[in-house]
Amino acid sequence: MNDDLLLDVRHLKAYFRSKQRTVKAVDDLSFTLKKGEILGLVGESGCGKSTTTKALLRLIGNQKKEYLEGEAFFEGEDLIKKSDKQMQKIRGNKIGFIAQNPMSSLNPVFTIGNQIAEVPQMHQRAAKNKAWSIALKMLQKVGISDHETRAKQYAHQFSGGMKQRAVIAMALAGNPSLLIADEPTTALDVTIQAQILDLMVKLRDETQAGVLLITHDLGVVAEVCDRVAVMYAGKIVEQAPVDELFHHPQHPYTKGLLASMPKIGSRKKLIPISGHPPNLYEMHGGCLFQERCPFAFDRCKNVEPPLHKIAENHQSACHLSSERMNSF
Amino acid sequence: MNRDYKPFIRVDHLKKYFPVAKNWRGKNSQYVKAVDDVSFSIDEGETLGLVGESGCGKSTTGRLLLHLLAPTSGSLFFDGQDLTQLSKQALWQKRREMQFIFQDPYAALNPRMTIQDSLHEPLKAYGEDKRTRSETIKTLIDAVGIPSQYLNRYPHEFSGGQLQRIGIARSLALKPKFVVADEPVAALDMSIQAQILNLMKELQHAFNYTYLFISHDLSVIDYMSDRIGVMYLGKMVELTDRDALYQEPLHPYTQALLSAIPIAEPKRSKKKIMLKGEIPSPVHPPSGCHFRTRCPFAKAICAEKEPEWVEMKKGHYVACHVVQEAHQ
Repeated sequence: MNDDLLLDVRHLKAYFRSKQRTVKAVDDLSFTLKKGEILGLVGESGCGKSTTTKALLRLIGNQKKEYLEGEAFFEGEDLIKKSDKQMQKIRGNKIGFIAQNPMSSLNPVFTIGNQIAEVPQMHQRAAKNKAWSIALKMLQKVGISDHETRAKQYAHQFSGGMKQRAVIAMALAGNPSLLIADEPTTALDVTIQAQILDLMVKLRDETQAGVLLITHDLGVVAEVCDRVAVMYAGKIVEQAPVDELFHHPQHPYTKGLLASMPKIGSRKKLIPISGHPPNLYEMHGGCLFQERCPFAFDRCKNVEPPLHKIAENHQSACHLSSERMNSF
Repeated sequence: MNRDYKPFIRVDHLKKYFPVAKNWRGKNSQYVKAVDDVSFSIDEGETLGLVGESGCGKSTTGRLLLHLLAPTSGSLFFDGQDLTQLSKQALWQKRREMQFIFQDPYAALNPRMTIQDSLHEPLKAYGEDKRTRSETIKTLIDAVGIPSQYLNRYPHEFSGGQLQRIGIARSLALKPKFVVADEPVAALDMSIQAQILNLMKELQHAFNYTYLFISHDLSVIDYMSDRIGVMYLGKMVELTDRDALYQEPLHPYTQALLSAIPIAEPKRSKKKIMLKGEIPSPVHPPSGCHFRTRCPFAKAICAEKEPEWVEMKKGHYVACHVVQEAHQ
């Protein structure tokens, strides 16, 4: 097995059950993440990107109505089999998490410095003053000027971009080897987004942590990611290195997404994907994209296409791309 | 583009100040200058795009143009008539010709009314009889691509994209001449976004609407607009044809904004202009040029004097000391 392998997710399933129906939010997801790599998980709302992160952090799967299955090897150990107590030691320590909304991931009644210092206090049993100095160091690392006064301030005294920097500092305080960022820049303005993305890439270079970046923005993916997995209705439909995906997209959904995106300076008419995403509780057999797919044929209705290897590092879940490969 | 016809909408030195604090006498002492001395015009059948980051005053400008907010000062000509001078009754009649498309389609429609009833409302308000109303609605709903058998459904039975289509249908029910669209696609997924943008373009083509299109997303603005205005902290900093804005942006803020946008083309060698810091508070904007605190080219004069709104080339307006000096 590859030494660089940090996260190996195999056949991950996360379902939500109610009396009448089951929502297959994440259905049979497999992917890997190497050290120092940024993997982008893209898809539209409701495709299961956020559920994937919650499943990996085991924030779901503890209740009867939530069903979690599969394996997720993180540094050789299966996260899905861990007990709650064991997970608590991993969360915030080896796995850092950056949420979309920095306003709701900070506690309004504790100072920013205190909240960051809590991480080494909890996980490394660091003394109070040691933890404080770690917090200061982290704030400096994420580019907050005047960090000593800033550490004593509260969340409401920070602007949006500053708060997100503080959240990143908190995620990094445990020195994680895996960083999960769920739409880290969606709530921010573009000029601030550029700063935060730049910071994340710089920190990755420094710490060699693996980053799982969840986003709906293909532009963000193209700028920072090394590899991309495109999700649709709870499944990965295409996975490839970033260049390959943007220049030779194989799956009709990926192609559709790229064609429906306005590009600056281009005068081409947008080609939208017709229809809308399927209801996750009214799933039928066959390919989930077939209703919106311009190339759908008989087999798509009955047989679900598996994620097929079409080139080195490039997989696509489409009957057409696998057929094309077989005919060679 | 043909720039010879008379301006359909003309805005001169438009200002809107919102009071935020009172002094001990109970008089307003502090203001947010949401829109501060903005002048521009829109031709008939043209789309003017307004772009800027949150809090720059683009939505307030949109509301002022429909006279949903009374301006603090300045004049506003709609089809040759000054809206600020009209009586309530006359304004109400004029309102027929101008409409608004909202950002959040879920919030824009009454959840307890069927969409049929919602669509009847504007027509009822202007005293159309029942038969014409029903006929108008049939053609409208057809034009925006919603099957007419859905008319008796409630908003929760539709997806976001469908609701936005219905919202557009309602805005167009009274056959307006001028439509303000405030972030109409910001709440929608990428594949749906393209559907709505194309629909708005087709409708404009068919009925010769004049649009003011507001968005924070430069690529969406670029796709939709004939001319683009860039706003920063209540001021318009640049206004020109979309091609000129993209090919030779003059204002440092426009340049930074363009370079900050993540482009869906990996490994493109692009030099990023990273802006320092964050947007200052609009209650205490910097003296002189509002952008000077983040501007990489700021000089002494920028702190002393507000830059004037100057036409540098035909139809290309900029408010920047540095650019104006360089041209002299």
